[in-house]
Amino acid sequence: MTKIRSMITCLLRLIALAATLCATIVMAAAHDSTEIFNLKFEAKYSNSPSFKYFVIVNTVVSCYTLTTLLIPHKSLLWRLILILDTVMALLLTSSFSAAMAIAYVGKKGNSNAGWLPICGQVPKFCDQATNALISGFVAILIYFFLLLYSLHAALTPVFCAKD
Amino acid sequence: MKDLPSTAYHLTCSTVFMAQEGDGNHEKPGAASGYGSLGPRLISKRRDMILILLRFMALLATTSGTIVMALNRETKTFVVGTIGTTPIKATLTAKFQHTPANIFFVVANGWATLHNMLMLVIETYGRDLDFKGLRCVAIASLDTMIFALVAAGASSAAFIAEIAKNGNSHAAWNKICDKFETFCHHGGAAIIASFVGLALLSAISVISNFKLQKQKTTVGSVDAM
Repeated sequence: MTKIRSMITCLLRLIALAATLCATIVMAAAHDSTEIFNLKFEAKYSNSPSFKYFVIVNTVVSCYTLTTLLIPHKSLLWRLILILDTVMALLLTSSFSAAMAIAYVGKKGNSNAGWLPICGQVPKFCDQATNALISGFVAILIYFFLLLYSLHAALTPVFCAKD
Repeated sequence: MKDLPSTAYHLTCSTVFMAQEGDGNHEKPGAASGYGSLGPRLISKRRDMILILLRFMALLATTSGTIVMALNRETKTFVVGTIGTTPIKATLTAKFQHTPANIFFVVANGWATLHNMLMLVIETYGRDLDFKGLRCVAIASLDTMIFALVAAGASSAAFIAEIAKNGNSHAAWNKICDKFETFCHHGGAAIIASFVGLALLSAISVISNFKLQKQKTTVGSVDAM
């Protein structure tokens, strides 16, 4: 039973690693430029602090996932990893939420504040940022599945044991 | 003691601690009180006292965050032009509903307020409530979920507020805080209150998860996955 458990955990972590790496790379490489009235308008992820936060958090989480993949399965670190998994899932949620807020303003604009949508001018950047956000969302889902599975695996002895 | 074997392993978090500390002046685990008596129990354990205090402060923080942002509204009249000698005035209102991130912020903090209230009620009046041994799991998982929700709401509102304060020259989004100062100050205060609540919720979540781990080690065997 432990072998199947560790295999499933490994598989989920691999998928999470892939998703977070994908989100980081696509967002960092998103680039588009346009010229309006002889003014060069370049769109990169570093123009917005929340996209920077998204890239940083996804980098940290992918490094963490890579580290956990390398830990042997019988060591005692797994309880610490359970707590760190929770923390990483929360960081991912926070970064995705912040990036979504800014991306929403970029796509739909905010007429009350006078902020015009920029997706019309830099469509390539918009598409790439959307893809990165989708990948980030998949990473969050996988992390929550992983968390639920780890908690269930860690708590099963509770419900089976009787005094 | 007919019902003792069936309730013997329904150890709640508080009774586990009591059994461990060897305290004699509380009801024994699995006693006949069960679900019947729901009066307020004596809170004499320092750990439980700290947890209740933390939950109360988190309740205050999230409530103030919700209310201050929900009542955030400012109306200002601007002079947009002149025709001859008469100035043309336009009245603009800044409401929190104008930004979806703020709506999410209010909703998330509202849910956190309700959650904190429910947890306070359970900790003070419902110490014997044990849902077939799932009390610790339910409390720990709910705490983590609400922590995630408040983290998402607070971070999205914080980044939108950052754009409102500093503008974004690359996207030609102008700052609005120089015109609507009170709105920005109130919004900032709400976000700070929510972050304070977030820090407290993180401590509460960690403590609840530790209680869960402790329950696991006393009742069952440790499986190192």
